[in-house]
Amino acid sequence: MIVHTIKDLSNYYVINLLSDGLRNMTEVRLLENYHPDNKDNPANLFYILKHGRFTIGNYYVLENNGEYAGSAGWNRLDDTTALALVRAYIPLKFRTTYNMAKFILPKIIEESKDHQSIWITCNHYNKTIYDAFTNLSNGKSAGMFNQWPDNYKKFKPVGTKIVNNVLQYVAEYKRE
Amino acid sequence: MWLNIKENNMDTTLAEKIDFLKKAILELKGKSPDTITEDTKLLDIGIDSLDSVELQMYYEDVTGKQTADPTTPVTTVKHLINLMY
Repeated sequence: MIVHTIKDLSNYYVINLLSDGLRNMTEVRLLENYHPDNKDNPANLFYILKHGRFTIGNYYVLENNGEYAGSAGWNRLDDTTALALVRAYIPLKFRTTYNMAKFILPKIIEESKDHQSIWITCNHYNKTIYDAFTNLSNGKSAGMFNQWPDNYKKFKPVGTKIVNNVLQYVAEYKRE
Repeated sequence: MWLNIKENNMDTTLAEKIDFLKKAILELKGKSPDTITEDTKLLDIGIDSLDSVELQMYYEDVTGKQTADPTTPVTTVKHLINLMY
């Protein structure tokens, strides 16, 4: 697995890899935020790459045998907090392999070390992950979540916050 | 409860378990695969790790029972329903 690191649209090879991969996505509710045809939408990945969201941060693109295998980034929220797994996507073929946790999350934790806290934010579409964090922190059976890599389990649920003007469920990793 | 799950696990047939799973997938994802067998791979019917967690929570909500913590990777329908019943 190759992990490419980008901050903007300047690396043509990686942007083409990313663009070709995301062009094949079928999840209708995600098209606005990820599909390259929607690059003029301020919420779209290619728009935020172009407009400096990752100036303090990085976006990581996974390549497996020349094929796009997923991507996610981190960026500064404020002096103390970094947002993790920003614009995260894994193609169906590569899901359940936990490549995000194996290859990207460790980089995010390391490279955002100037920030005391890292937040993974969830909206109502993926609130399940927040609920899983909650079950885990309450000592309940984590069930399927137990299979997830341990670095996810460093994050603790801290409730809802307004992040980039949107109410989000937040799981926080606080450095010692 | 939208599906009658018997209290005694031993009484729940494989067909009932698979029926439960199909209806749960329909409820959660808006569509359900036509055919599921014990050997069906979860990824082949569009169920990823997040969906598995979601199905587990849905099951716990519907039945009031907790699932077991898996000790081996859950990759097929059989793995999933063995934890849920």
